[in-house]
Amino acid sequence: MQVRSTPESTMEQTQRVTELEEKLLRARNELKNLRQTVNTRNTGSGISPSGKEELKNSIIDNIHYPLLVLDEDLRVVFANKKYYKEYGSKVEKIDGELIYDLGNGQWNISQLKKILETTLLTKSSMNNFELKYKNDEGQERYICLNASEIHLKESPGKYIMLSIEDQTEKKLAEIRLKESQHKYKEMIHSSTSLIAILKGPEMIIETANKSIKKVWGKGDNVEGRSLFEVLPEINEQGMPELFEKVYKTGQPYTAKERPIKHEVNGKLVPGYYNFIYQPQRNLEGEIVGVSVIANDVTKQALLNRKIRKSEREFRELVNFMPHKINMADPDGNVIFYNKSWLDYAGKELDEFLAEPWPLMIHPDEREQVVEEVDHCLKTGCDLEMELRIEDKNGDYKWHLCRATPVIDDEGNINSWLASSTEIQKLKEEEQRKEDFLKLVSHELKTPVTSIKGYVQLLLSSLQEQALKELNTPVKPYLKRIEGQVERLIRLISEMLDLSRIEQNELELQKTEFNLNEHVEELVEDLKYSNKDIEIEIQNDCDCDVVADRDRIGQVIINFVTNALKYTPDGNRVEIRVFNESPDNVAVTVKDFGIGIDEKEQQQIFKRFYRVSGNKDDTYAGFGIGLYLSSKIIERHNGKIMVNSAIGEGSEFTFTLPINQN
Amino acid sequence: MAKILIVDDDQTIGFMLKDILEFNGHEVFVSQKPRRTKENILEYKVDLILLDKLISGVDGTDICQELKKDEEVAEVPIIMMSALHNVGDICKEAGAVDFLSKPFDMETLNNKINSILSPEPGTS
Repeated sequence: MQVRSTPESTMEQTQRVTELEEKLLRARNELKNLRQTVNTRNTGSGISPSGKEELKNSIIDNIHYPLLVLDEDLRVVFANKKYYKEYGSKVEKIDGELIYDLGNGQWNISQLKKILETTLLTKSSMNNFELKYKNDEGQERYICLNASEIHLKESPGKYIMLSIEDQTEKKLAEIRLKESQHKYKEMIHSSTSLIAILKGPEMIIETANKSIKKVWGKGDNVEGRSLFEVLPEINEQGMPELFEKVYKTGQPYTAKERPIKHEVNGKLVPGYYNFIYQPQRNLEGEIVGVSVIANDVTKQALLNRKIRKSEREFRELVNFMPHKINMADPDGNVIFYNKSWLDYAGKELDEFLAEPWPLMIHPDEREQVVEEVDHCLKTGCDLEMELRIEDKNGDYKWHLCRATPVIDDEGNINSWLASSTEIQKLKEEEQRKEDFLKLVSHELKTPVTSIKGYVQLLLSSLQEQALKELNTPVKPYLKRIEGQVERLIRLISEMLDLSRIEQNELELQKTEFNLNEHVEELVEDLKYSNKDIEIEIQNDCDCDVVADRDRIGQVIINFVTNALKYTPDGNRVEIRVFNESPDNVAVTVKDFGIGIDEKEQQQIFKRFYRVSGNKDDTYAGFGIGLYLSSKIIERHNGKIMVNSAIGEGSEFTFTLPINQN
Repeated sequence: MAKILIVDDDQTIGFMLKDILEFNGHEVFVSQKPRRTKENILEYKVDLILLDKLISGVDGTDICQELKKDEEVAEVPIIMMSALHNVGDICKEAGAVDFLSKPFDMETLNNKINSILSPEPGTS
């Protein structure tokens, strides 16, 4: 704005100077005409000598600028009316006065003195001598002096006619104009914007600032030459047409991030510019050129392009993915769905965005999902849940949905990113697996029930007979069969339990019981079926708990059978019941077997994990026992842990809260 | 000694139970047709029924409920059996006097039957 307003004020000043010059010219012409008139009248006749004298006086009085006539001693012999008026002097005061004494010595100026006393003595006239001085009030004044010698017939010697024109106003206007022009130029040249002023249809460079010259890369001396000659490379880039259009139509042209290549040192340097081409008009309003104001926005443009590219890539990626991806604002309003989403819903983006998202969630999960989402929006924590979403055919399919907030540098949530993966097949597969597992264990139980029944029938009926009559040890064999059947039953139960845990169907039947007594009973049962084992119980506390008695028993039996299983060369196990903390009771089962590698200690509570011995098949089982134990203890809000070292045996511990209700 | 009716579609289980119970001196009838239970009760004048929960697609609890509603046979105690977990309560709600989880110990079976047939003083 500033750049554009300056030329206007300069123009005003120029106009004023012009007006003053015109005035002056008019006054001079007037004087000239008057002189001619006087000369004509002198030569001609018709007016009496006294009339002529009057005429002369009248002419002199009518001259528009102050006039003095001095004698050789520089004393005033005559002054015209304008002089008196302009400089406020009175006739009687100045007549015969030395010029330097006039008006409180206002003409006592050394420069004037020099001119009057030296120049005029050698020369007969002096034209338009400009002089600057300070008046009484200390103001700077500019005067223009014209002088010529006059010789009179009656009076010998010479006289000097001196006209003193005050040109202060004109001068000041000129100075202001110059200053303003200087400022204007300075501003243009020091500007970091790229500025050039081009004249005429050839776009002759009148002004080009440093910044634009640097971008052009053609050196400093480009003024006076056509832009198209200086920058031939832009001819191919559609620029001449733009300039021509602005020049012809007077319509400015604006461009944003327009790529332009400039040839610098023989190489084409690409750049991006925001610019405006403005028509330049003269005082009459005719277009005389075009101004260029541009900004090099290469860095920004490249960054913008990079951002746009990355955005495009992100969009492509997101649309390419089979997962359903969507984005939401910090309040949870969805602002984007990827292609996979639109395909699933069979909708266009706008139509889909206009719909409230909870409507596509299965009614059974809808309320819970909305609650969870609200919670995440409030707390900024991640979301992960399984839910059913309606597809374009109205069928609901299971999805695993995850959402995470996108946090900006200030730590505020900018948006939410969510992905939904269809897990319908997985769910169906899982269900089939669970159903199958249930069926298998049910079907296995039937023959096992029958075997168990007959073995027990045999055992009890054999007691009645004379066993000694038989040659084979029937009873020990039957006992072994019974033991293996029990083991089979345990494995089947574990399988069923696993399926229940996976389905979240493991129900606890909590009762209050004494843990120490329970441990003792379990140990007695174990000793009954395996007479070789040595189990030592240490009761450091006596404790009642509220828990599922059978499930806790299952955990203890699992610990003990594991302890025995992984102690190939011994059969000693230690059980300790103690207070782990004021609120927790703990049971530890310690063996002196092969021990567990530290790496494996992290894994053993995982499903189907089996500690590998020297021979993998040495240790029987599905690798479910410890997993089940950990889940059972977890459901009781207890902890399960292992402490072990290779070759030194293992110590398995679980804790239970004492005040569990 | 008592007359006991076993209703189970699995022959092996049925006959295994028959063998055990007969060994203990009971008279045992085995049926694979749950819908005919009432007729069987009346025909053989049974004292106790061992009823499987799932018999050839029929839910044993339904049979149990029907029998308990029927005045003619409501008095006959029913022990329900199943290999399924956690169904004991459902069976008892349907009117079964006790529940036997498969697989079971012979001792448990005998104890349950004995306690129903000749209740000790103070127990029902």
